[in-house]
Formats: sequence, C-alpha cells, structure tokens
Amino acid sequence: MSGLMVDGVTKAFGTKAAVDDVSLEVHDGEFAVLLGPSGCGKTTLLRLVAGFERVDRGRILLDGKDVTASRPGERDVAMVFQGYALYPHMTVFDNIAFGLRSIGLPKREIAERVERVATTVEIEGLLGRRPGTLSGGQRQRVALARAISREPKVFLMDEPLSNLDTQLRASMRMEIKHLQSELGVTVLYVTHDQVEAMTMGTKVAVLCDGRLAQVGPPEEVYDRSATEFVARFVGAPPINLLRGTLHREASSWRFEGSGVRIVLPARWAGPAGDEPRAVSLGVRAEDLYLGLEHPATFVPLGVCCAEAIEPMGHETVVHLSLGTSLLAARVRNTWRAAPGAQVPVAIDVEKTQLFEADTGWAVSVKDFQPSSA
Amino acid sequence: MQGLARRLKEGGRYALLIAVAACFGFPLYWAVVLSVARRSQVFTLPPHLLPAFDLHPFERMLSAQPWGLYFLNTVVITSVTIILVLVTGALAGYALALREFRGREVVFGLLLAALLVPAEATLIPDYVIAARLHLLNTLPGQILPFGANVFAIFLFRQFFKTLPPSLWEVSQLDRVGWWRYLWRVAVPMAKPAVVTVSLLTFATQWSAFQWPLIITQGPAVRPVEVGLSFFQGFDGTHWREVAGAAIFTMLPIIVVFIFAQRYFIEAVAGQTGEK
Repeated sequence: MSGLMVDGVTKAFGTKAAVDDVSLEVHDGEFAVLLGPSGCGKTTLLRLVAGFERVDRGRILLDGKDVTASRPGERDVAMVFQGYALYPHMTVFDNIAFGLRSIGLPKREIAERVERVATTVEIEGLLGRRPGTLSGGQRQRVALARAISREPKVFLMDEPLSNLDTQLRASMRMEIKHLQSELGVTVLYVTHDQVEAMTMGTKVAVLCDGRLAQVGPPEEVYDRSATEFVARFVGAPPINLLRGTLHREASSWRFEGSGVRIVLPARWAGPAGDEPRAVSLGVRAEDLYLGLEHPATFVPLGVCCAEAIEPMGHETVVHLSLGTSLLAARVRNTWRAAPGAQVPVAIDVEKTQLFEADTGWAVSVKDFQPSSA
Repeated sequence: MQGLARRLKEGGRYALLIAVAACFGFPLYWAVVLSVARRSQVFTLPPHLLPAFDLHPFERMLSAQPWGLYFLNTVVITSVTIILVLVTGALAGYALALREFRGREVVFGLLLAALLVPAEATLIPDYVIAARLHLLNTLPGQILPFGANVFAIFLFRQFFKTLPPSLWEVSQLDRVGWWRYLWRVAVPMAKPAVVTVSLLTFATQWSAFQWPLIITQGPAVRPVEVGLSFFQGFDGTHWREVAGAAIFTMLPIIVVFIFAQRYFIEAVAGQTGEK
C-alpha cells in the first residue's frame, strides 16, 4: 500500500497514554485531518509519524515500508510547524536550500528546485529576504515551500494556520487545499479547528483522550457522528442534545424526554428489546425550523422561548429554551423576533442522531434490525 | 516646577557620572603625562598635571624591548585562544544543552563547581603539568590552558537551550546532522554568545600576565604585558617608560572597546532587550 499506515500505535508519557491503540490509514493523495481538542494526542501522533517520539507499541508504515524504528531523516516526510520553524539567520533561499544541500543535490538542481517551489507558493520575490522581515502569511509560504522542495512521501502539518489572522487563515486554507490536490501529495494535518477539518480534509480522524473516536469523510463525521463527543466537537454552534428515553411503539420508536415526544422515522423500526433505553437525541442547529409553516419532513417539537438572538451577518443564531433544555437554531438573517418571544419549533427527524446515554456511542440503525436483537 | 526638579535631578545624575568617569579616566591621563614627563617631574608634589612633551623616555622605551615580536606573540596567543574557546564552548555547551546522556547534569554541576577554585590555587599543578607536556616557554603553553573555559560553556549552553526545538526537528527531517546543525544553525543563532565570549577572552588573554611571566624565559615567546614588567627591575622602576609602554599595550584593548562597547556591556550586564 502506498501512503501512510498507522497500525495499533500506543505512546505513553509516564502512566498516561497520550496515544492509545490508534490505527489509521492515509492513502496516496489523501488529505487526512487529525481533529481533536488540545491534549487529545493529535500532535503526539503526528510526532510519532515524524519519528520525533518513539512508539511504545504498534507500527508505522510509509509506502508499505516499516519505519517504526527509523530515524526522522530516514522516513522521507516533511513537516510544517505551527511556528514555521524557519532559520532566522538565513535568507528565504537558504532556508529552502539548507535541507536540499544536506541530501547532496548538485548546486544547479538546488537553485532550480528553490525557484520552482518559490513560484508554486508565490514567494519568488522574497528569496533574498530574512524570515524576520516577512509577514506571518509569507513565513507560512516559505515553510510550505521548504516542505514541498524535498518532495517527501507524506506532508505533516501541525496547526500551520493557527498563528494567522482570520481572513488570512481562510485564504491559506483554500490555498493549501488547492496545492495539495494540484501536487497530488499525501497530507496528515493536525488541527483543533473543526472548520479547517471540514473544509480541507478528504478524511477526518477525530481523536479523544488518545483514542480514535471516528474516521471518515467530513460529511459523515458531521451527519453520522460515531459518538456524542464527535457530534459535539464538530459543528458551530454545537449540536443540540436532548436527554430522554426510547420507547417501543407499534411499528416504530418514540423518543420521550426533555419535554418532547417524537416518533422516529421508519428506518429505525424493528425489534430490539422492549425496555426503554436512555439516550440523547442530537439535532443540528440548521435542522430546526422556527415557525408554524415547517417543511414536510419536519415534525413539531413544541413552543420555545427565544432567549437570545445572535445575528452573524449571513445568518442568525437563535438560542431557545425548551423546559430545562437549551437549543440553538440557525435561521436566515431575515428572521425577526424579540427576545422572550414564544416561538413554535419543528425538527427534521431524518437528520437527527441518537447516542446511548451511558456510553456516548451512536445508536446505529443496525441496532434496530432483527440480526442484532 | 516639576520641570525644574527634573532638570536638577538630571543635572545631579550627570555630575555624578562625570565624577566617576574622571576617577577612571585620570590614571589613563596620568600615564600619558608621565610618559612624556621630564625626569625631575615624576615625583614632585604637587604633581605636574600638564604634559611636558619630552619624547626621550618614549624612545628609550621603544628601543629597550623587541615590541614587534611581543605584539606578534600576543596577537597569535589571543586569536588562537579565542577560536579554541569558541569551539570548545560551543561543543560542550551544545552537548550539555541539547544532547541527552546519562550524568549530563552532574557533568554540568562539576563544571560550575570548577569556577569556585581560584586560579592561584592551581598555579603550581598547572606549572607541573605544563612542564611535563614540554609546554614551558612555548606559545601553546600560553594558549592551551585557556582554550576552554566554564563561562563560555555556560553561556553557549544557556543560548542553545533557548533555541526552538522545532528548528532541530526540521533539520532532522532534512537529514541535517547534528554537526552541521551546530555550526550552521545553533552557533550563528547564538551570535551574542559568540561576541561575548570573544570579547572577554580577548580582554583576559591580551592582558594575561602572571602565567606568561612564570612560563616564559626569553623574548621569543613573550607577550606584551610581560615585556612591560621589565621596566621594573632591581635598580628601581623606570616610571616614565612603564607609563609609555602601558599606553602602548593598552591601545588595542581601548580600540576594541570603543568599537564593541555595546557588546562588552551586554557581556557583563546581560542582554539589553534588543537583539
């Protein structure tokens, strides 16, 4: 297999496992994002792949070759660091050329390569400058150019955009993504920013306490989260969760709790024991409808009180209370109501997600099929 | 009123600074006066504070010793020592700051403890060692004992510890070995340490006296400071010649100080913010 394979890797610092039995495949040309809150082990995993840390258990394979015991320089990976890690006393040209010289490329080829990568990331005019005289975005480009110049098997990126301001971050996001698909390179990208993960990744791996919670395409992670933690971590405002229980009805299931009763769609029909199960019902802010004329797939949830209204410009987020639960709904920016107003709320049941109350795992559709009963 | 108070305070501060500067400057001035004084003026009271411009003692001083040779010796001793101190300081500082090995902190502690031993206490053992190594009356004998020093190691270690670890990590991925990393990345980035160590080594080696006096016997390997001492003999001290020679041997230090004043101050007082 070409690309990167992490196979059952564990790494502990002291008694605490920073990375706990993680397996992950990143295929050739894939843009994989390691997503998680700080301290979840994503940077440690990246450093294990780079070879800066030794794994305690498991294997790391690059293009099918076991590199678990190899030193960083023998792995043929390049890394872009959060702080860029440029050599401050060298010119941009030398920053890029420094590594190329040490792998013994002839001078002529080094100059050609530096020119080429500088053109790719549009820093041709900066080759004679020192990093200290460059803006954050320019330094970022130099760091990218340096990583590209080596033509490595895998690019590792450790929160490369977190030092940039919001606007620059948005444009660099698109640019890195564009660069990656144009060069067809394999990327493993670490971030705690779910927007970066959603917009850049072709594959998103969510880490929680050193363990992989879910791996999949961004839409899947968003729409069919594997755990309550994943559902809460991706998406802003965070997913709405209603505590309650599942009850058997004639041919389907009914969610009851937090002051609501909803009959779940038919795809969740089927016998799976008769006793009520404690669950959380998750619904995203955009899957709530405020008003009486809700679309056909929606069912009424109840009348809520609009506690706060946050206009975001392109849309408006309305914070609602329903009994003791708080809900956030995303509506068009033309929506108007005064705080304290009573608002009828409907919910798109097709888009809801269910999580077991005790484990946090998603209650999957197959739980309701006869085979698992 | 506030302006007046501030101006008085400012004026007081300058008066104090001028007084201190005069205290330190006067011996220098007095040496100049002495070096061109007439014989009768050396011991008079009250002293003659204005130079008499008698150039005879100066000429006698210049012809009494092979100063050209002494200068050459001193330049060789000083410059080779600086290079050695930089190389050993950077290597040891790097090992103590960035390489992991068993007993690293113990080694560092022992090095620091060596600072507590006064040079006088090791004078005789040093002499014996130099004699056994056949280094008496040689230039290497004046260089090698000073070719490594704890202060330089300490300073390099402190600088290397402040380097971002990601620089070494990037270098590792680029297959840059530690040797190349040390000389091409770490040392250039520790430029303030390089300057500080060079200047302090220059100042101490240029004015080294005791050790060269003990281990040199002839003019062939003698440095300037020792040459200077030969005007103090059994027949008394030739004060005018001593003063002239002192000015003469101090000159390089004064010139270097003028040009590198900022670094000297940083070396002694620590970093002053701006890099």
